[in-house]
Amino acid sequence: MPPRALSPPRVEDVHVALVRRVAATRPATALVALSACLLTFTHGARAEEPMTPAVAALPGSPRPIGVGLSPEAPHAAPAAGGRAPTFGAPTKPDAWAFTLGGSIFGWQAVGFGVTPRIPAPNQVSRPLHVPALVEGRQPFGSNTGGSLNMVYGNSVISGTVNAVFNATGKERQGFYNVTNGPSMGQAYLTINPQPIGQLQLQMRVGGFTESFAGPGQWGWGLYGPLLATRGYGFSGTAQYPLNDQVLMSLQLAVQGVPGVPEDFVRGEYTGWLETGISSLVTHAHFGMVYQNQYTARLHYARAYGFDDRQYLAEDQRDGKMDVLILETRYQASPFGQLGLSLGYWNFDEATRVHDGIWWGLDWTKGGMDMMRDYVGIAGQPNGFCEAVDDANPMTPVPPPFPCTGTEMASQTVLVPNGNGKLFAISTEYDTSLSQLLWHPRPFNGTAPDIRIALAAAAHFTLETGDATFEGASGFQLGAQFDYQMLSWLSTPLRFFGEDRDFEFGRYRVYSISPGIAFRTDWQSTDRIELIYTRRFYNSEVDRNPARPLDPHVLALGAYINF
Amino acid sequence: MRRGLPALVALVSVFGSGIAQAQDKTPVLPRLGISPGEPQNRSAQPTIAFGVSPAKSTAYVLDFHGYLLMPLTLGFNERENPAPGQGKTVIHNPPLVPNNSRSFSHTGVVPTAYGQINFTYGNSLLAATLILAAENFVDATGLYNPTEQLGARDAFLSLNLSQQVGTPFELRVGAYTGRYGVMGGYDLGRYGTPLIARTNTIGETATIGLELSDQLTLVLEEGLGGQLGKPNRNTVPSQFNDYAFTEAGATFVGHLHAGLDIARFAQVGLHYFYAWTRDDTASTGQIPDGSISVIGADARLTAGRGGHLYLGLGHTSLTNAETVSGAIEVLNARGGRELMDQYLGGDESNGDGSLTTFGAQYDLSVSRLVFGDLFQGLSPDILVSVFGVHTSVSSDDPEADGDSKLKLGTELTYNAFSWFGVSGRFDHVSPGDSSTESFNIVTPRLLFHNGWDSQMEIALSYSHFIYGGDVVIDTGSPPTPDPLAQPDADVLALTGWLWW
Repeated sequence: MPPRALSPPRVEDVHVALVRRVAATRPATALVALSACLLTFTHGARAEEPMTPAVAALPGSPRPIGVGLSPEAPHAAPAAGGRAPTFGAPTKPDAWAFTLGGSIFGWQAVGFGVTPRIPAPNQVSRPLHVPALVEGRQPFGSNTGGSLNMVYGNSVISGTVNAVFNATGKERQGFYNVTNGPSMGQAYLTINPQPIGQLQLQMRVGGFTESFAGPGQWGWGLYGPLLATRGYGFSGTAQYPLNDQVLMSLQLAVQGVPGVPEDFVRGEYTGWLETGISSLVTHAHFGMVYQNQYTARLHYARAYGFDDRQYLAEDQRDGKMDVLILETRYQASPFGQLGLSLGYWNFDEATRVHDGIWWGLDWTKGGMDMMRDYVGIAGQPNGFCEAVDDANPMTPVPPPFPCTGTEMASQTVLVPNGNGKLFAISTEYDTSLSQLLWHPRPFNGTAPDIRIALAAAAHFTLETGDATFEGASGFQLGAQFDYQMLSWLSTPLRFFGEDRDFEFGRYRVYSISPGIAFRTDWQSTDRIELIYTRRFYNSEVDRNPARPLDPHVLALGAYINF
Repeated sequence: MRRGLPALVALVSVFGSGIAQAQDKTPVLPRLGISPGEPQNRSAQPTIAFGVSPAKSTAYVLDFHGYLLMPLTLGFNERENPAPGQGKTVIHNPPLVPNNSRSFSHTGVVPTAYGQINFTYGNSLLAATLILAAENFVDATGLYNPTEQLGARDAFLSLNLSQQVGTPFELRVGAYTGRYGVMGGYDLGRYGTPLIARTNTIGETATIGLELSDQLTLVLEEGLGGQLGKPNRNTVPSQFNDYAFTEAGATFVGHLHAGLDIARFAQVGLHYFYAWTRDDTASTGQIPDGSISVIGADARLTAGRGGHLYLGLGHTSLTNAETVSGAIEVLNARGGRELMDQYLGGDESNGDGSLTTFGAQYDLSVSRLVFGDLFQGLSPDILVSVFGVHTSVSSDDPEADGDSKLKLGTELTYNAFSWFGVSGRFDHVSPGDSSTESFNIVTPRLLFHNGWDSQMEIALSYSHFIYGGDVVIDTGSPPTPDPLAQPDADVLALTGWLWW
């Protein structure tokens, strides 16, 4: 009899051994019988498993000698069920790889102010402001710091952590600005299972943001996406080619943003925050791409807000916000790409909806932000009236009661308007002049060029309970030209305009920003840029005569994305 | 049913084969939106593989590890009297359940977010480690809460002088945590709690292993450290400083440990900690000096097919302990103040008292039990775990004196496929003497993985809480007992989890 090979037993051998054992000896214990049934049940599914060296992480395996736990071990319990080996357990080497991406950036912008019409004593005649005292969009970033995207994984599964570091100290800002970090922004798992036929799946679990329906070339654009969601949760995407011409995609997701207690102290360091409210977002997306040129996608999201506040709100209600967006895109050489997105928002007590819908129109955050900018939050009667104060101050004031029509109007309880409807359209055209002129020869970007981006967005308030915003509308215009004359030098020119109704009348801000930019190569993602901006405001925006807004801004900055 | 089972097995087999035999190349999946990790303009990202651990390299190399736990947790409750515009059902995120990790009631059944990334640079002689950590992720949370962004949580040097000394010897210097009374084989156990004590200091730890025979190894360890800083006496306790406790003085911790490893089968350990403060700058300068001492013993059996068994006993003595800071933790309670609040009855105890804690955890792989070394973790398995902690309290506060706290649990996990398993966990928690203060948790889970030896897990779990009539949960900021809060009975959690 030949000697037995010293190779690991196959999975089949293990189960044959089990069956023989169970057959030969009557089941001694219920445990063995149960395990035999369960362990042999899934035999078929294991046939394809590669045999690799064992993982010595099962209960009972030897552990490193020591009397404590490594400080590197996480401050957390093991994974649910004890199924997967815990951090620090010995594992076999794998082909996982570390990927590092991110950006490093720094901007300094100085606003050159004007002397007030009625100057105060000892008033500075030509003030300089850092940060610049401006309204409206700026053509550059405002932070100094960096972000790192760390990805560890393989082709099937990966973990991503996004860490953000901005200048925080007194040396840079005169005070310690804790909101600048360091912080971990996102962390999530991405799973790309092997395709099932032509069906490709992708899943994401963790804390992350997702953005949709930006009309720009890469889904972003000058005015950003019309929909972005965030929170902890799950996102699943499926893609299936119907034929050689048509590709279909579907995505479903649920995300939740945890609330914080009502008595959580709000401060500058917390960023925008609505305490006492959590939000839950469900969203679905369906897309079709024809000939890799024509794209149509439908996006739907609903954010719920559950208002359990005890003392910060006079009238606790559950709110919701629905978003429906049609995204279309045409992209073809040499013309570039044209994106057009149409959005519709329905607000139902939406001031109670926190920011699970992270971005709406022009980077608004959550229901309150959308209502404030586009629909209005002026107080609305909620049908209750305050009780009349008792003459005896020691008597507790009773809670509001339903109005009977006999009370004074001033006693009516007013709550922020949370209802309304909004429609918006956003479009962008991106092209390369050299690509147009070189056609039909291909242009690879390594020659002089003028890059052009033209964008416009308009919004219309369809319904609101705030009289100030009835029939409100507005638009935004943006243009960006970048003449890259040399591999290391270009002259960007940007124009932005915003013209919309707001609580004080009409909000009008326009700006034009010529600049000069240096970079290391034609296609490099680094840039050093000097930008001058001339800004124009109408009187409703520049309405404080004692502190007029800066008409001139000079910015010097640099960034690299990697 | 009998005919259905083989059909199901066949279907699963075919399905699994189909996945395995699909095309090799993994095309890039276009998304309907933008990847959250994508920069705001298109960029090519360099790929750098770090395959060499510093501990094995004579040249300086960078090692990178991480751990991510990312749960969506939803607690379901019903409003007793919904107002106009309010639904009957309300969803809480985070759930209103007994989940304060600083209290005895904590079970860890409802996960909370946590992430850390470890950077180690060094070689087989010297390694420097920096650990960045967070207890929440800003983009998913809606706010920047500084106390949840731990930043550089640990930074330390590890000097391995084994070759020079001729026996395993490591010296660690820097800011790091030490955790003793580790109930799990490789982790803190099912409750995520060191049973004996934890140190949070900047200082040193020296560990030496002495091989007494082929079967016996003696491990000796000593450590000394203190805090990096403390709040000023006029620091205003607030949200952003995690409600600084200005009464705490500068605290130092010394600790000694001895462990005996017997044939890699059994390990026994003895532990002693002494934390003290002598600080005349804390508070009014008139506060008494405080101390906390911990003595503990534990034993561990790594019995191969017999599973893993841990038994531990710790006795904590507190004297004027209010001034002792969080440089020492016992049962996750940081320093004397939190131990007073959680166990001794608060101010009435004057910081005097003691805790005696006993804990055990037993983990068993049924497949390993049945097949022995034939089973390599690459086929179906049933994992059984039983765990519990009991603490008895002695305090100068008569209300708390004699308190007895108990939590017990068991979990059964069936790994049916390489990619799928199910588990069920039961917890009983009795944080007070009255049975009406106790509660039970039943938690079935669906577990998804990318292989038998996966380092990731996606878990969908449902927890049903059965409360006694007097269960009080912590709410608000800072978390404080709220007798009026109606806890959630049902919690749904979707958790992503990965380490590397």
